Amino acid sequence: MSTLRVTQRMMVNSSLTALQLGMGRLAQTQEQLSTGRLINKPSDSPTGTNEAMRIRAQLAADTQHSRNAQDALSWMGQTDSTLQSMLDDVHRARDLILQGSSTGSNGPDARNALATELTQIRKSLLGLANTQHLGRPIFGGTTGGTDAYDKTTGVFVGEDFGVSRTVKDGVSVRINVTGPEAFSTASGDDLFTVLGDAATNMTSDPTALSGTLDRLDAVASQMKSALADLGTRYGRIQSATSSLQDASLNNQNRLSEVENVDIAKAVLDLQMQQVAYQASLGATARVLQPSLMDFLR
Amino acid sequence: MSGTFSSLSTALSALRYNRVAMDVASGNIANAGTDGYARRTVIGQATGAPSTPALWSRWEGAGDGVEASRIDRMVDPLLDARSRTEHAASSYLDTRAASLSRFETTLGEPGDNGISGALADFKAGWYDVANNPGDPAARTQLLARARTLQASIAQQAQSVSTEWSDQRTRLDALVEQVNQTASDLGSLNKALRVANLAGTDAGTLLDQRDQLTLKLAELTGAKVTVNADTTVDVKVGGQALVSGNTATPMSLSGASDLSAQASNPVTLSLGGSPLTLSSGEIGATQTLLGQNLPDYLDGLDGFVSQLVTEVNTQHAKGVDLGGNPGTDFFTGTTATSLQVAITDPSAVAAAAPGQGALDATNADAMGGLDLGAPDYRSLVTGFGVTVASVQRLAGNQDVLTAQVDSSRESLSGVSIDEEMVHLLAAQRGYEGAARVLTTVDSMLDTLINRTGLVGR
Repeated sequence: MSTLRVTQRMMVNSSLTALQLGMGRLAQTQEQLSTGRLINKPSDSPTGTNEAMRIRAQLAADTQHSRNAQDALSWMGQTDSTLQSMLDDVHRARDLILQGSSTGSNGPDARNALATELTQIRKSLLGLANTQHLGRPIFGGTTGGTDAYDKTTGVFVGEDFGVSRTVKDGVSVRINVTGPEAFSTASGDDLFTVLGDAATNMTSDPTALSGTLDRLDAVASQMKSALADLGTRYGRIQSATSSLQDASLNNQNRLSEVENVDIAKAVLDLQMQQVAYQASLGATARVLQPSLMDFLR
Repeated sequence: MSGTFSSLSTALSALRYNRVAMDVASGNIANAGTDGYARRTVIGQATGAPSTPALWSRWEGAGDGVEASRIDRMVDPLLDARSRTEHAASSYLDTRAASLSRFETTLGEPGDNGISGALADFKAGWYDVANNPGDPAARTQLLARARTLQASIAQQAQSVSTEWSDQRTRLDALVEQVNQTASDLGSLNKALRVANLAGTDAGTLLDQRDQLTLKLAELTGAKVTVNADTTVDVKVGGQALVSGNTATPMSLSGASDLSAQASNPVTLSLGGSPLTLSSGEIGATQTLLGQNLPDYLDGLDGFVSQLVTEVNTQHAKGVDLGGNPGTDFFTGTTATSLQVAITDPSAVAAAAPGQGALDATNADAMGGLDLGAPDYRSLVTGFGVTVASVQRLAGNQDVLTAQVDSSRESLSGVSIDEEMVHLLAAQRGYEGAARVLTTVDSMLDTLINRTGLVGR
């Protein structure tokens, strides 16, 4: 007959091991519950760690990309409203030139008044063309100066280069419209020269005004196409932003799936482990106490 | 026929035998909780007819009583050897698992506060500069984030190095312990030999011997050979550590700092030849010192060198606020030597050359680079795999070791209940022998005092 001999010490050892194991499991579930995270160290799940680190990097990049996009939208919004009000002024100037050229009955005084108003409009347009966004002239390209156009001569003093923002991995969108792009025609004529000429012609050579009007129309259509182009890019950034938000939400969900504890399951596990632990405590208390001594008299 | 008084001597032998049995049982009970104690059993033997019959005479006795022929130590040398092997494997894995998981907690991954968090902030810093190239605050913030990244990397390198130094100190202590234990075992071998020659009970010495060899196995994974005279020879990595009375000390040399490990590796030697152990605590410490920790630092250095190359290459393509080409952004190529070289915020080369003063194309491009993030991620994941596998192996090995220990305990452990039963049996035996004595005495009384009274 070969039965396993069981000694007190074996029982003590196995009870201790069982209690330790139970405590260990309880501690792990407790750690998960109190941190709310399934992965507290890379070894908890190496593949999960890889995934979590990747998603976290992507989330950080997405956050920054949407900040870039917000910055781009505010820059472009300002450019858009400035161009709109400049177009209004240009229409007013067009009316004035039309008025000066169409009626032969206008006396020199009336022409002078029209010329003065044109000069005023030109000045106000110059002011608008130097509009700043966070300290930078929005039509000045990459210039480090404060102005896009010289306030008196109306000459472009900015740097005719693009300003771009990255709004998604690998998607860089141009956000600015430079002065020459918005206010100069292909022939090199620009808004401020045209308006200056118009004011001069109004008093000196009214017959030349119809030619000036054509030039102004060309400039205005250039401005409109710049506005349309800007609108298209604005739309692109907006759609990129909304897809960023979707992606961000998805990534948050995935991160939470990988990293976070399923509370219901963890609580259930905790309950079960608690029961098991209590059972082994109870068993230990019962098994270790009695010995033959209790029954020998 | 045996003599008249033979029954008396038979009863006496029973009294003696049962006294011995009670001594052994009480000795076992006394040592029920002693580490390394193997229970003893008394082997009784009936004394009777001589084993070699003599010519012209025959033995007519019915039994001459009992004697305690020997006292056995209940051990199985095979189980002992098995136990030493499993304990060595267990301590190897446990030591590695403890050290690696301690270091692992300092990584702070996955999370927002580790190197990957600092790297993401650093990248975002470039985009902030790209959004406001003329703003000194954005540039200053970028430099601050670069320094934070550098500090996180340096901190992690420091953690590796601290763990390495801890293990190095531990190795010193372990080698000291091995030498002490080996020298104790040498003296014990001598005592065993003497006891063996003198024929005295060597049970306690044998308990000590088994304990010392188990300890040596846990420390070094030593192989133990038991000789015919109960002494043991111990070999570590093929070299004799203890042979008879002589113990050869191990010695340790080499770097006392992780930075010197590559040029002057830590070397353990025994009897003049270098040892690389793959078992026991010393084996674990050697693996940590020579592989796990330096490998991690190498991986970290690889990531840093990738980071520095990417950043400096891109930075050189740009020009700073003054229009000068970008200089090195970082210096150093290892985790410990990494430094942020740029201190002046305006020296950050955010612009592409010839694109205007406030161009930010270069900063924008920098923000889109990986900056070694995949290298770092695979380093951390790889390390996580190592730790998880060592922990799993250690868990399995612990179960195996516990089983072998349990088998050993099953054979050698003292069971109080059993000893009580032995004690009771011996008590009853003693009582019985006493009764025999009384009976014979009364019989003799009848014979001596009441016989031959006829006619008195």
